[in-house]
Amino acid sequence: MALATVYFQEFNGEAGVEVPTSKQASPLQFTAIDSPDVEEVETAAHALVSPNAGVFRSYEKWLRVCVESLGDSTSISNLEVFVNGDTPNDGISVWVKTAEVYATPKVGGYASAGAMTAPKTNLFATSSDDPISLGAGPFEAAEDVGLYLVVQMEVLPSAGIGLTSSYSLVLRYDEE
Amino acid sequence: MRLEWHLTFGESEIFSVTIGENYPDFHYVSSRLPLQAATLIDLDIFHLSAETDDGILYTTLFPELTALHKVIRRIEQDFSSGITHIIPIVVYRLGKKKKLNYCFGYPDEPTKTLDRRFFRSEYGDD
Repeated sequence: MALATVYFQEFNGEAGVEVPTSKQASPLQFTAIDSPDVEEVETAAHALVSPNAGVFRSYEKWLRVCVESLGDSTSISNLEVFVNGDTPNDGISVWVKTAEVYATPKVGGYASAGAMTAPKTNLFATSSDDPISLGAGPFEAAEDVGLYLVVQMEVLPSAGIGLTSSYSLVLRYDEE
Repeated sequence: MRLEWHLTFGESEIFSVTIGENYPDFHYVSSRLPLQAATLIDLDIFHLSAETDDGILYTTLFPELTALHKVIRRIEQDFSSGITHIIPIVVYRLGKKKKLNYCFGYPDEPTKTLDRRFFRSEYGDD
């Protein structure tokens, strides 16, 4: 039986002309630019800043589940996401929320105007027992499905310089 | 059946801009940095630097002119706790070897952040 092909896409750009990019084989990297690209360490032109005071934020990342193919299945349902046991580096946090409609990503930076708007929760506080729902479905077509998942990294003065750790965001779903 | 798909995230680079706190006694330096990063010649990338007698305190690369405003916001924030004198900022457009003469300064008011009224460029005030 061929399973459905399901993964996240990242959306970038102004609302109405947003551009999807598959994250099926590419990690999600937080940067100071609205781009799905993964920049190389030490040459990154849009690295985040460990501030002397206050908070520095990445651009928001907007993700949505893409059902590329249903395979031999008829539907997927109960989309849920969570972080399973990872803990963030010192001075690092990632906020998350869901949205029904795409909006131009917040620009991050030092100003509060660049911060994700509430309500939002701590991504690292989620777990397999307390996931975030992206929609119950059922979703019965090969298309983008469910709510958008919006994430934004915050960097505090206590953050270390260099590369943050690699974490795993789990997308869980039922397939029939 | 219940399935999982995993997305790797993080692996994000963080750098430090520690001008105000680490160098509280910096003051105006009129000299300009030489053109650097020759490997970036022909790329449309700008090079921004702030310097003191102690040398380069802040340098960054950014790919488009509009990003200059964002860089300045970073510096405004990081200078806010320690600024005492005028700060020269020089922006080079690599590839054309042309100094765009961006500069802005700040009077002797250490408790305030940089005021964009002191930001001047051939493109006009910010």
